[in-house]
Amino acid sequence: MDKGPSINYIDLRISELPPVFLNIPEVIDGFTTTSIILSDLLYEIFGKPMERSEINRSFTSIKSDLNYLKIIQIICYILNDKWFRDYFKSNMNKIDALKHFLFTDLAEYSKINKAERFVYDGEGREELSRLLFKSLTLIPEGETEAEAKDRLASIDSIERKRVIELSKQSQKRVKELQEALTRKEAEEAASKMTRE
Amino acid sequence: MDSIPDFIKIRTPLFKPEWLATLQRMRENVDAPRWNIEIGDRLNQNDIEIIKQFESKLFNERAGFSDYPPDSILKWIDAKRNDVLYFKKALFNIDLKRDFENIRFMSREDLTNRLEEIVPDNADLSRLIVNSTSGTTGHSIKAPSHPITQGCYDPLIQYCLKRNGVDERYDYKKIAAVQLCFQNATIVYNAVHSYLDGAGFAKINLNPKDWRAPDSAKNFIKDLSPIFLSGDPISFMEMMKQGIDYKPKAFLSSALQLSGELRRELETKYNCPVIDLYSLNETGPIAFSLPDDPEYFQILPTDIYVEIVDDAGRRLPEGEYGEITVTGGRNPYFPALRYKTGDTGAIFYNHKFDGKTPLLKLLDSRKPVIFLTNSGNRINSIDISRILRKYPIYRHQVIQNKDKNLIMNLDAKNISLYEDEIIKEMRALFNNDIDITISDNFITKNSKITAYIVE
Repeated sequence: MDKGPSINYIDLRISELPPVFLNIPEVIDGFTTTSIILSDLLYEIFGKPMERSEINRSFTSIKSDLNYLKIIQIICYILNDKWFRDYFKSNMNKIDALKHFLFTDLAEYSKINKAERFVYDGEGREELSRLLFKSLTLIPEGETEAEAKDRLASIDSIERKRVIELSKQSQKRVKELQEALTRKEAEEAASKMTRE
Repeated sequence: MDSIPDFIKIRTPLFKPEWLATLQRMRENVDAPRWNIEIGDRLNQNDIEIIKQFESKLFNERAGFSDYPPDSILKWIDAKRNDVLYFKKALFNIDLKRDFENIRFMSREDLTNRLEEIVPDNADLSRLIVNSTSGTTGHSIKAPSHPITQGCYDPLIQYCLKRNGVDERYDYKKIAAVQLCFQNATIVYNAVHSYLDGAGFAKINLNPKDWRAPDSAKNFIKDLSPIFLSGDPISFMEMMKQGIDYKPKAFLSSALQLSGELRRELETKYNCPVIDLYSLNETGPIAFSLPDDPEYFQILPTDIYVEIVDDAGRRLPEGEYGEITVTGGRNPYFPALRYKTGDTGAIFYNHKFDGKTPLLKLLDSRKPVIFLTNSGNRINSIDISRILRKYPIYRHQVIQNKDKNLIMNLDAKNISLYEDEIIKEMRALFNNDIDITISDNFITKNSKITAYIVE
């Protein structure tokens, strides 16, 4: 895994995000402004814009999901930074990981997070930064791989939603099991020839 | 079948009429102890088939493992991902083929406080059995179990006996075993085991107050002529002290560490193998001492994976001492996932002995501790555990000073509610001739708390 910049560095960058990146994306000549921003960025860092067919394939299903498009715009803003531009120049193979992050990994997060949370909320900014780092297999400066993993797990909104759902299920089970334990404790065990 | 009383059929569903004589031989024996409970094996025919499959694998598929869980264990874990809440949480973002060492540890605390997350969602609770552990490590916990889990002890014990040269056929004409205890109070019962075709089994307490006459225990054991005797080292010491001279085909010692000195004494006096079984209530038997070198314990079941970890949770290499941690098993209510046993040992993957499963060397984990009353009567620490587990105590440490008085360090909520009752029961156990102080000033050694200390 490569070392990335510090989480503070990204945090500062997001906090300076120009409000235009949170504007509702428009459709120009059949293309969303988000796809144009992304295509320009990819041209800038990989020397190759997105092809029309790829834009259609990637954006057709999300072109009316304005929240999702805004989150992609935030990522574009983060990556349009000297550190990342330099990084991608020597890591051209990371383009697939980046596209996977943008069009697959982020989908679920966009359903439970407003784009604005990733800009105006400190934990939201950190979560988005760490998700991006994870997708590019980068470790934030000043952290070990285990620390980075631990920290992401503790602020990951999908993980949090999952735990809440699980604990709702478990509360029902607690009652059922406590009753069974109390009832069975009073009963006899089954015979076995050794002890512990 | 009508000749079989209901109280037997309920507890031993596969009971056959010809087994009645075996039960009567124990329960109506002129020297029998005062039985205080009825217990059966609770097994049905489907259970027997499952135990047979377990036995077949136990004897024939001993592939062993090294420093990463074998595919069979990984498959077992994966199958539980969706049914066990604890597994769902612990395996989040875990690629089992690569990240086993990143799975968080399961602890006794999880078993105490989050059992509902460990018991599978779809588990049928109607067959639940609750075993309270003896608490020799300082925590008494309620370990859930199942008749099949308990039934699997029979083939596991048979494997140990066969490896020690004791290869017997069992049926209702024989008494398979007598389990010896030496406690102030414990359950005392007789039973037949369906899996061993009705062979008899009796659990007895060598405490003289349990018997009609001084020689009753000696005569009872001799009359039953069990194939082997099981028990803990304290009960075997008491057996010798009472002059019980029955010679079994083997001794099976468990619960507490067996010293080399007592082993040699038993071997010489009774002229038979002495097997030390490392077994926990939560997991069942884990390993047994090798006949050629009893310092080494061979991993017994083939459905568990054992690893050794340090205090920071890092896996230790072969030969280094750390905490014994277990994954797998056959308890449908307690699927162990990196369960920290609290015991210390080292693992050896490569060895010269038969069978490919790794070896363990255990360290001071189960040392027997005997307390004394002021008048010199011996008190087994298990009797103290038996009292303490009735109260909501999270952790305990009992220290007997040189002046015989006790300090009881107890970690519990609202201890003041129970303090007087605990002191009363403990004083009665110690013949009301010692002083008891309750505190929470635990003494730790190498960050570990020893539950019982006699200075």
